[in-house]
Amino acid sequence: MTVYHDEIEIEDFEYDEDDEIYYYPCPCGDRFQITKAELKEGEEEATCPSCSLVVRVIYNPEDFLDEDKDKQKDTEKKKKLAVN
Amino acid sequence: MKLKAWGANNYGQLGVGFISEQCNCPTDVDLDYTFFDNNSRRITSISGGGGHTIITDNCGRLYGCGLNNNNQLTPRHTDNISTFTELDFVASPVGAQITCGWESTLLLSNNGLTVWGSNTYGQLGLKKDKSKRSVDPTCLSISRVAQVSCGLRHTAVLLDNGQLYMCGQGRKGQLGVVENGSPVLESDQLLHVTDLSNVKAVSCGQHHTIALTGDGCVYGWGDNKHFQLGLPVSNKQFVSPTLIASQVPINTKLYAGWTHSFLLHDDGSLMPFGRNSYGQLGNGVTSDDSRLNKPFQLLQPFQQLAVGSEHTIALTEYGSVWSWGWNEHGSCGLNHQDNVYSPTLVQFNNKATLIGSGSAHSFALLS
Repeated sequence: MTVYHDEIEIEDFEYDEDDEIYYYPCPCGDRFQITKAELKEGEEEATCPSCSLVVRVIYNPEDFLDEDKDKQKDTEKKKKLAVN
Repeated sequence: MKLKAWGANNYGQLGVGFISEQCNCPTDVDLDYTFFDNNSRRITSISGGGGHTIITDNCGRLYGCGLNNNNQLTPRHTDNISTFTELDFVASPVGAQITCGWESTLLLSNNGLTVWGSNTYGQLGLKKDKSKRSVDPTCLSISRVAQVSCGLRHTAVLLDNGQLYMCGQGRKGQLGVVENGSPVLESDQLLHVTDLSNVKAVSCGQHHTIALTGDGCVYGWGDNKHFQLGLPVSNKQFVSPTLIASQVPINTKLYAGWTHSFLLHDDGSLMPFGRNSYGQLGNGVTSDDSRLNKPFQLLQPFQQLAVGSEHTIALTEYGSVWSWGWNEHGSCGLNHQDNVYSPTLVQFNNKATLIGSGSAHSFALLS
């Protein structure tokens, strides 16, 4: 099992919209990073390219579901509401 | 005079003239020493951030190297620099003190407090500009500043009348300011910490702050996840200044690492508290985090510390240099990469007169 250096909430990461990568400072001076695609797949480990430290990302997987699925969910919700 | 550097060097922050993953041994810094020696110049302060380093000399010059992605070195470009380069865009009068934030730089002199680099969280006390992460050198409209300290995303500014001001991120309570019953989560303006007066010294860690008042009390606020406030309640944030220790001599020096802290007493003994996962506390204990503990000392009393994010460099009264803590990048300068749990002598031929550190990089000025 990985020993995490820390657990960091996704809100504390900085998001680079161009690269679609979330970054958080690593104590070595570099940055922990995890891509939006990885978060969509349920990955929760952000790694640092310069050292061995790993942080666990605290986030709500539902916030990263594919937009298609989001639309699907919305439709389902509406249907449910209609039934109710 | 010789300046030695070791530790992480992936942005050229050691100023040794090249970029490399790290230097495990003290390495000569690339400076024109004949220029220094022939002109009686001396380096007077050394400070490092996440990936950059700034030094000042006794003739009013400022030099920088390392990471410049947020213009923490110079506003003129965003290239990294692996050799100390004179920064002549700002006047640095004799006696100026340099303090590096993670990706920012603060210069305190009799001209006032001039800041540049990343202001993403308002940590430079200047209005945030969403279209721009960094600010060009700007003199803050605050006078009589006595001391400055930077955390990862917050800044403390202490005035000579003992009033303490804070700015930047406060999501963990590290600003110590509560407005309308709620902690201020972010401020790009300096806020007065009204709970404290007669503050003598302050130090900021990753997400915590510690301060000493004139009546010999040490207060802490912010994140206490690893007992870095010395308070025996872990996994809790303290949003207002909370008493950590009393009857502390008022010439005690305070130092905060990322998630640990030190009180350096005037007898040269050291009181560590906080996270100890990589030997950060240096008290020889290899177990877990520690609340306020017994002080320890070497035969040679400690005089000055330079605390990185997870490692520490210490200078003793006799000019010897010791190191401990996280050492994956050779930050301890001991020619290996194993973590160091007790102060260990860094071997030099000459006495050291000044030390400095950044996140995982270290400096010693030898006579």
